[in-house]
Amino acid sequence: MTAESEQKGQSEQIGRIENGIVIDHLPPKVVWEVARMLRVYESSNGRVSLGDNYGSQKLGRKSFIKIEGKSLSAYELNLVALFAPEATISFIENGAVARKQVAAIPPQLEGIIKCANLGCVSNSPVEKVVPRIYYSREKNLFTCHYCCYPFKRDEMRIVDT
Amino acid sequence: MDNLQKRFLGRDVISIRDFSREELDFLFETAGLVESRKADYAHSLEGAVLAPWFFEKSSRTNTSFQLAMHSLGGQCINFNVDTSSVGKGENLKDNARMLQGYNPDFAVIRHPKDGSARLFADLIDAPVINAGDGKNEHPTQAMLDLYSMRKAFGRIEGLKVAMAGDLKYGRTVHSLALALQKYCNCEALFISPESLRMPAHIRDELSSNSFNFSELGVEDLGKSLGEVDMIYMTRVQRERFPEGADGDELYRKVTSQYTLKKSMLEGAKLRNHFVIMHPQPKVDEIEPSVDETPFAYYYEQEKNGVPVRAALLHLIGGGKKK
Repeated sequence: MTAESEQKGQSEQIGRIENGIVIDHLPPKVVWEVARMLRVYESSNGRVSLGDNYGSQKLGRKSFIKIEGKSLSAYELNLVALFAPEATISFIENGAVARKQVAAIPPQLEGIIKCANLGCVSNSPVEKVVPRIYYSREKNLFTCHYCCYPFKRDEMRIVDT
Repeated sequence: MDNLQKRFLGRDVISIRDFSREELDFLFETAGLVESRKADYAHSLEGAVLAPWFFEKSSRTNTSFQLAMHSLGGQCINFNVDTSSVGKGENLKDNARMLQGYNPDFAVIRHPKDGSARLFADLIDAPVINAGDGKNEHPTQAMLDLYSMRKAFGRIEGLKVAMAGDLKYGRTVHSLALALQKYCNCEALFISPESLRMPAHIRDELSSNSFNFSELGVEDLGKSLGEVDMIYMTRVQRERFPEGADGDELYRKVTSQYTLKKSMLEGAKLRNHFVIMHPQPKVDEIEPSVDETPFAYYYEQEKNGVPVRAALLHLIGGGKKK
């Protein structure tokens, strides 16, 4: 067994769940941001496992999240694509994969990411505006509803929770 | 009512992007009528109320909107940010909700934050007109600029326009550049200090729409005059610079870098009908002696704010003409 496949086996065993959601093939280091964005610790009595920097045949290095006893909507799970377009999302029932979802960034994001224009009214601490951002898959570009400022993924910031 | 007129009814004016070339031309034709046949429009918006909601200083925009509303038989209410609850820390959303409760027919907003006009429009039923949102846009200024160009040159198509000065923080040049790209064969020269270049996202948008533009440093201001039909000067927007000593230093550095001088005009081989425009107020970026030359068009330009804004209000409000 190579070191890579040994690690792959480890990632499958760690936090193994009977019923829940596995978000796999996240790039290394983003796991914490994804967990924060999905608020995986809120209203959940089940186990939550985060793994970072594991070996992956697909990505070289990867991270993953396993969540037990908390349901997430298709919209919420699609938000994973903000950080990881290659992510795989599996719904586990009775220890087996019941179905999968391919994450795709939703065309409208409400209260998820901030406008990259610091002068935008939605970034003002006085105004307390919930940011509304549109995503164009065709242009791979975000645009602010309020100031129309367009920005790319590398300028993206998640709203404070 | 024809189809173009219907498109204006009740609409917000937030970004110049939202207006097609056809709609802008229709607005300018209406502005021409409003200007030449004032009496026909004198009762257009009788009984209607406009709320000029200015959170930043304004001379021309505020005054011309109020004059435009009065010329159509409408009224304006008074709002003074210095004596309002904004000084007590009230946010824009609460302020907008208050105005919504008073149910005006139009709200004209100017605010220091980018995107504030869209926020306001989301909260108010009446049509909202952006009179300048931070460093973002000033769409009605671009409308009056285009109208002025039509009057000065008889056309907009094919004109080459230099925009000089603070292109980073100047919202008028953002709206004007986005408006010019709607007209065939127009071209722009952006002349600015390196630190005040036209923002990348606007340059990208212009490029993606195949709009022809180039960029020059302020040292090329004089020699660029012979290459263009019009130069649009702008002042440095001190109020948009960072606060504190760093902002002061940057401001001092860039303000000393460019001034349009009479000697530059005398030394250039200017195109026929060459004019100088400026959204005003001007400070030191145009030498006072230039005001007396036949090229200074900015005093004519500022007059055009009234008919253009009156035409816009008339069309949005579904006004009746005699």
